Amino acid sequence: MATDKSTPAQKNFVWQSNAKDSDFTASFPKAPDMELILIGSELYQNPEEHDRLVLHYKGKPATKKNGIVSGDPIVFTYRSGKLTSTWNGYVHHVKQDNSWQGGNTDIVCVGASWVLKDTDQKIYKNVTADQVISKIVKKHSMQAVTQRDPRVRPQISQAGQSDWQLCRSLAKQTGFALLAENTTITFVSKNKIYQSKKSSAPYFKYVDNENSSITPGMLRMTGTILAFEPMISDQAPENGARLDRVISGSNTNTGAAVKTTHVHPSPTSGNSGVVIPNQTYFAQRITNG
Amino acid sequence: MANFSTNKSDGKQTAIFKKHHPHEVITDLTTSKQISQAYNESNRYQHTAKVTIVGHATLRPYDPIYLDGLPNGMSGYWTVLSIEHIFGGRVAKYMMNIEVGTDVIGDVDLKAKDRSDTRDVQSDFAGQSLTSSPSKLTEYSLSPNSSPINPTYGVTATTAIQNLSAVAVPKVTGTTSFKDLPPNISGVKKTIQWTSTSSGKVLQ
Repeated sequence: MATDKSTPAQKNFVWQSNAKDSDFTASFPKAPDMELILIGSELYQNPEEHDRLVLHYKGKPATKKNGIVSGDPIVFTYRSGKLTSTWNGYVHHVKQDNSWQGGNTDIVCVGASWVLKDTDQKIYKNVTADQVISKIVKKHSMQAVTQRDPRVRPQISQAGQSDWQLCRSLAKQTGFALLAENTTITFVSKNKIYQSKKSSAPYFKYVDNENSSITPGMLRMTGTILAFEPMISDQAPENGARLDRVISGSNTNTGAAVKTTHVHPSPTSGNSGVVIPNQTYFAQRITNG
Repeated sequence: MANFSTNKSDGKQTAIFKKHHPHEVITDLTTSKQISQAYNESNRYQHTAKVTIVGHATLRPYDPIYLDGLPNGMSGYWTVLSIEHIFGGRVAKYMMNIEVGTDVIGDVDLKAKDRSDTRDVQSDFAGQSLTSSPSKLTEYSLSPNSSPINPTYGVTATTAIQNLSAVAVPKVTGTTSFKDLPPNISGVKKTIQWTSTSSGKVLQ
């Protein structure tokens, strides 16, 4: 059953957002009489991975209804404001927990690209990586969006690997982005995606308290970024590093210990509280006076 | 630079690289440049961050997004690396946990706020849009899943009870009072399949 109901607790707490108007529905073409209420879900979309969808239903289906079992198709539609997306996939497994809170039903699904899990034995000769991707995708009646890789390889072997494993391997070797969305496999350079979509990149704002180091949640929710956590690495000393960095090791030729220290430049202390007029000020005083 | 050819005769190694795991051997300069460039591409985004944002239905991995108002000069364009859509949560009905990355921090655009995020105009004109085509469901009638949830469970054998007297405890035959027959799906070929409604396209 397609469900777009929301409890008061699920109403958006975010004030300035077109996501106030959002909903999500799931339907099963083989079980249109699915009557359970969809109370939540998560959709995972990672590069070089099949999409995964987890649906949380309240209760359990009656035995008189059409069953939902592994391999059944599913259509998941979600919307935020005027933006709508449709996700197609298959039911992977159904999980029903029995607890003191009652039994709910979780349905775990995988994207339509799942069919690429089929293994094969094949040798491609004098091909580029994108041509191999196109051939694999065409074999499964899907669409490939590819970009030409300049390197022509004398041979690419698939020795019992799954089609998806071969695609991932080629993506790592070429540095291209490999994305699987519904029945479309995208194999293009990361710069191609970035440059083509940069002019229409969505905008999100992080609201911080300018007068205090503490930002209350109510103020933070006026923006569209609810949390931001940078992962500072040693490769980015200019962002957040407040200590001297000491790097040590050993010289592989001489075996001697090597040690170097990168001193953190402390911010220069200003002379706050004392106003020192500049030369122009005195010149104007003399002229006017 | 030390290498294996300079190892001492007494067995003492002077090589910097003790082990090599070559994936492939390259014999020409052009290919080596292509491989080094590809290796550089596959190791991008040294600056990463975890961000929670309100839901945006059309956002996908490797899409650029503009994050404004961040501290320490980190505002600017970032690239989405992974997405977790969360529906039905408490803070917002639809929000997203995403991981973003960039090679250079501070790619600021003061007009980013005013740009439209609903249409890829340049790609539309050039005929090179990265938007995926819709899908259709093809053929699922031969699946064993067309049967109800307990396809062959219909025969639930009733327990044979032998009453010896009106007051005696009934004697149950067998070790279990019920028995289940699992569905027989051997030899059934699954044919469910989503199919793209258009063929592939190659971007230049």
